[in-house]
Amino acid sequence: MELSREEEDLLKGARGEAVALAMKAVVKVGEALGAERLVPVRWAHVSGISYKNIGDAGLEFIEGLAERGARVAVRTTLNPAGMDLERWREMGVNAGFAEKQRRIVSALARMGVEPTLTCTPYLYGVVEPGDHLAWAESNAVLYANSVLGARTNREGGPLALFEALTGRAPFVGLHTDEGREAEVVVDLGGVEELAAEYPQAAGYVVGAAAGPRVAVAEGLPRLGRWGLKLFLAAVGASGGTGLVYLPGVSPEEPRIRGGAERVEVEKRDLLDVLGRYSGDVEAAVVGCPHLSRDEVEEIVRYVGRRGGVKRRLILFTARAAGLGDLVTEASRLGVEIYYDTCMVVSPLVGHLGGRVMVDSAKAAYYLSSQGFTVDLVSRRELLEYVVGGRP
Amino acid sequence: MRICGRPLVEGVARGELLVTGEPISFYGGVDPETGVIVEKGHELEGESVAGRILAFPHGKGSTVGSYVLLRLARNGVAPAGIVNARSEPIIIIGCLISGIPLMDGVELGRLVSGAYAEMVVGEEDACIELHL
Repeated sequence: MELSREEEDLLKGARGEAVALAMKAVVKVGEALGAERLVPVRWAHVSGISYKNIGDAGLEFIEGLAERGARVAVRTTLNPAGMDLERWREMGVNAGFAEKQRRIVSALARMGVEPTLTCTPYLYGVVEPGDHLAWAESNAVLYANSVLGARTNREGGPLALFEALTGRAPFVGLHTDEGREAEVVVDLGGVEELAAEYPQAAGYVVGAAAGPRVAVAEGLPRLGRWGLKLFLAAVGASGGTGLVYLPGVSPEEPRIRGGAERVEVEKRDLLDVLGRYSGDVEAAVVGCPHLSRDEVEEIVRYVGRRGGVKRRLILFTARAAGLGDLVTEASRLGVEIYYDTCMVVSPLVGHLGGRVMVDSAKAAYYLSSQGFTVDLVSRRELLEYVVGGRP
Repeated sequence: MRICGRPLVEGVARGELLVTGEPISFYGGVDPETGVIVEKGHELEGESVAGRILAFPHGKGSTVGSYVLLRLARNGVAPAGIVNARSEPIIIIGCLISGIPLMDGVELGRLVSGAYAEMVVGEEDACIELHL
């Protein structure tokens, strides 16, 4: 691989041994993937920070980097942790776990990382078309590439941290023009109405059809910003791709490779996804991906108009959403809100009896793989359920 | 028999070969405390990776898998070395932060489970010697 003089210096330890290790990792991965050079990135988003997942080994590794003076070279944000950093007791998290989770976050903060603890970094900063990013977290990667026209691979947790420390990523895959050519066109024209009501089911079908390939989603109805979030999160759960062109939404014209496969989606495909995740539930959990402030407000207002909740409703969002007085209003109506974490990475659902309603196909996929019972519905149906409309 | 491939993480490993044609997800697929493969229906379900030279086509699943390799190493139950057909970032990063020698570009059909092997990964080349 061709390295600049500055990159060679980093490799030799010009910014300390921790950054040298990070540089070595980025170069090794780049070589393995066939990259000929690295590309500077302007924003890294790091996943894999829940103590539940990375354990004492991960904790000590991250603290070790911080102790050896590692500092991030570019703006760096963090994915959700395993608990609300303040209200962890209410989530059923024990003190030992909480202490170690806090140590992980504070070591990262010492490196200069912003402890945003959200899977929707795209709501908390400006991304321009063509920007090179180093983002982990599949829904954020899909949103950045498909809606914002930025360029990032699905970098993965530890790799994104190394890219944050070096400010560089291998110039390969979705960073390049060739890597952004679609190999499959998924036609949703025949299921437009159903896809508008169930964007999460449509996304799940598109992800499964795409697999690791860049795709074009034709005939997608107008979903609005929040429907797109649910759609893309579902694509990321069922498939490995990091880019789905959305005609009318994506700032980029789709590049379609000659001989690309065409897949026509049928109503049955979406109904199969909804049918796969159904069952009796005891509570509703929303916020995968994290809700924006507007969404929280819309939900709280709806519940207010209907006289409060009859069944438990738990929302997940970022502390940076700045809810202010909405929190008081929500709590008066019986709506519970947690920050910094979500239903998938915290132990909360286990404490809810393990049977929950969701409007996110991504949450349905990961919660059911943890052995929980999940009912996947539209957001409208979910809200109707919590105010007592639907049994 | 001596088979050479591409060097990815330097080091020397000696141990019994454990070979599979199926990809491995370390996150959720391997118990970080014991090193036992727990993925339901995996060809190697119930086998331990501890101290073996583990050969599989490539990693799959969550990128948290890199940290699972680190946890295995910390618990003394990591593979002695890893051989892939084609390595991807999960395995490369995991081996690098855990000090597990790694090479790829090897045709796995030439490796035999149970054989004793010695793997040497240097800066420029990587070879594995099988004692059948």
